[in-house]
Amino acid sequence: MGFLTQRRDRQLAAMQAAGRTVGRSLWQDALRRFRSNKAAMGSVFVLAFISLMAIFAPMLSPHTLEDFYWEYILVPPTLENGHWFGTDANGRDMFVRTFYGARVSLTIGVMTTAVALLIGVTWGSVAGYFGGRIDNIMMRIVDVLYALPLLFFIIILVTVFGRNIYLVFIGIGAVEWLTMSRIVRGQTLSVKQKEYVEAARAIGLSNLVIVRRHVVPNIIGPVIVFVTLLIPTTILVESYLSFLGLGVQEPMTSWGTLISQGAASIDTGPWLLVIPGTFLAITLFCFNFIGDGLRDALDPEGR
Amino acid sequence: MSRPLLQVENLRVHFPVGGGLFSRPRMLKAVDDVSFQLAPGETLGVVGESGCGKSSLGRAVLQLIPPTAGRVLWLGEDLCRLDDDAMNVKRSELQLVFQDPLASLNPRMTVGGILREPLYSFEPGIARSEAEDRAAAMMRRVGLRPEMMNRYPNEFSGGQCQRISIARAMISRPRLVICDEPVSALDVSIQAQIIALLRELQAEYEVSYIFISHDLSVVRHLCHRIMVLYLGKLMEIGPKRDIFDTPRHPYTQSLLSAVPIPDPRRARQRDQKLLEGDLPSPLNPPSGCVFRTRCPHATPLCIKSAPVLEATGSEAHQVACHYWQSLTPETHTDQPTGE
Repeated sequence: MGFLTQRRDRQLAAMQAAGRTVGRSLWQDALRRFRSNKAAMGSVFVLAFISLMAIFAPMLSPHTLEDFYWEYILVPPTLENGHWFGTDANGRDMFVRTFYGARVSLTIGVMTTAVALLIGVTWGSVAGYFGGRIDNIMMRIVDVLYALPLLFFIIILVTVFGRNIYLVFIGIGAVEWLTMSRIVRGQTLSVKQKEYVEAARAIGLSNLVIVRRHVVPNIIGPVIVFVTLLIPTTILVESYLSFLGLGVQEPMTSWGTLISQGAASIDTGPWLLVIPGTFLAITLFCFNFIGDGLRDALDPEGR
Repeated sequence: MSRPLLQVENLRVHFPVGGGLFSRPRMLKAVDDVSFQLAPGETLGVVGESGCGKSSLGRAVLQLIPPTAGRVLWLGEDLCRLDDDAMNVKRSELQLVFQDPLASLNPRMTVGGILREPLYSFEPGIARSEAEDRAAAMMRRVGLRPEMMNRYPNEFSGGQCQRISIARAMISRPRLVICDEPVSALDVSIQAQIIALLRELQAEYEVSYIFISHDLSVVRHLCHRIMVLYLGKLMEIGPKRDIFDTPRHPYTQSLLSAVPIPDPRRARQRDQKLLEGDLPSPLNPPSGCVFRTRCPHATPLCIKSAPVLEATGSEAHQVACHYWQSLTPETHTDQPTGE
C-alpha cells in the first residue's frame, strides 16, 4: 500500500515537473489524509499486531487448547513457568486461549460486519435510489426479517445444519444487515434529491454507476459510524450465543466466552477476566479510531 | 428561420399528487400543452413566476422527467421514444446547468474528476491523459486555473462553482444547454461575469440555450426570444424586442412593469400594473384562461374558453389572450433595450 502510493507520488511529481496537472481521486486523497491521522494509523498497527498474534501465537506456542496442566491450576500470570497469561481453573494455558479466542472474535467481528456492510449498503441504496414499488417490496422484506428474533433464527439454523461456527456468521450477518440497509436507505433518499445526482443522469450515467459513484460515497459517514458500533456488537452477540451453547464449543473459545468465564471467577482469578477484557477493549478502541479516521478522511469538507 | 434544432410539440408534464389506497391521485399539470422551436445558436428565455413549470419544462426536454404527452424533436428525432441507452448517447448534445452551484457538484469528487466524468461517459475508452488535458483546457476556458483540479467543490466560491458546472456541461461540446436559473443564486457582480461567459461560449461553440429565469433584466441581456409561462401554459412567445417593446399579454405587461428601474424619478412616473392575489394552485387551475383570476381585463368569455396561441403582427410573436388586440400595448420606452 505504502509502496504503491509512493510510486504514485513520484509519478505525480514527475508529471507536475513536466508542466501538467494530474488529477487525484477521492480515494488517493483519503488515503493520504488517513495516513496523517496518528490515532487511526496507530490503531491500524495495534490491530495488525493483535491479528498477527492471533494467527501465529497458537502455532508457535508449546501449549495447545487440549493441554491440561494439573500442577498449574489457577496460576496467575508470570514469566517463570511458561504460562505468561496464567492458567484457568482447569489448568489450561491462558496465552493460547486468549489468542485462539482472538481468532474467533476478530473473524466474527470483521466477517459478519463485512457481510452486513455489503448486503446492507447494496440493498438500502438500491431501494432508496429506485424508490416506488421496488423500495416498497425491498423494505417490506427487511421488515419481515426484522420480526424474526436472532436467537430463534440461529436455533433453527443449528437444528437444521448442526453446530457450526459459520452458522453464527450467517445468523448474525443476516440480522445485522437489516439495520444497515435502513440507515443507508434513509441517507440515499436525501442524497438522491441533490442536483449532482441529476447532473449525473444528464451526462448519461447508468443508474448503477450513479449509485456507486455519486450516492454511496456521500452516505459513507453514517455508515462508518454504524460499522464501528457493529463490530463490538457482533463480538458480544457471539459471546452470548456461546454462553447458550450455540456458538463455539469447548475446547475452542472466544473472547466473549473467556470474559463470561472470567467474570464468574473474578475473586479467585481476576486475570481470567482482565486479560481477555483488555484485549477486547483495545480492539474496540482501535476499530473506533479507525472508523473516525476513515470518516474524516473520506469527507473533503471536514479538512 | 433555419432548420430548427429542437421542436417541442404539445408537451405536457403532469405529476400525480397524493392518492392513497382508496383515492385516485390528483394531477398536477406542471407543463400543459407547450410548443416551441429553437434554432441553432439561439437563446430562448423562459420566464414566469415560481411554480409555473419552467424547470419541469427544461427537465422534460432533457427526458430527465418523462413527459406525459407530446413530442420533443431533436433534429427531427423524437427523444421521448428513445430507450435509455439511445437517450444516454444523445445526452452529450443536450446539457444542463443548475441553479444552486454548490449542490450541483458532488462534494466527494475533485473538480478534475467532475469534469472528466462526462468524457469517460460519452467517449468510453478515452485515455486518462487526454481526459485530463481536456478538463484542464476547459477549466482555463471558463476562467479557472487548471492547478485547482485537485480541489473539492466546497473550496470554491459560488461563482467559481457555477463556472465548474458550466465547464462540465460544455466539455462534451453540446449543441443545447438548458440553464435553469444559473445566476439567480449569485451576487449581481458575479451574475454579469457568468452571463458574459455564457455568451462567449455561445459564440465559440455555436450552442443554443434555453435560459430559464424569473429575472427579466437577466433574460434581456442574453436572449434572442422570450417565452412567458403561467401555470404551465404558454402565455406569450416572441422575439425579445417585441416582448419588451410591445408586450401583448396582460401577464407579460405586468411582469415588465414590475422590473425595477434604477432611477427613482422615472420609477415614480411609471404606471405600474402590479398583479393582485396569489398564483392559483396548479392542482386546481381556473377554468378557461388560467390567468383570468388575476387579470384586470377578464370577462365571462375568459371563464368559459381558454384562448389559443395566435400570431400577432409578426408570425414570430404569438400570444394566448382573447383580447390582445383591444389591449393597447404600451411601449416601454422607459426601459433600456438590451444591448
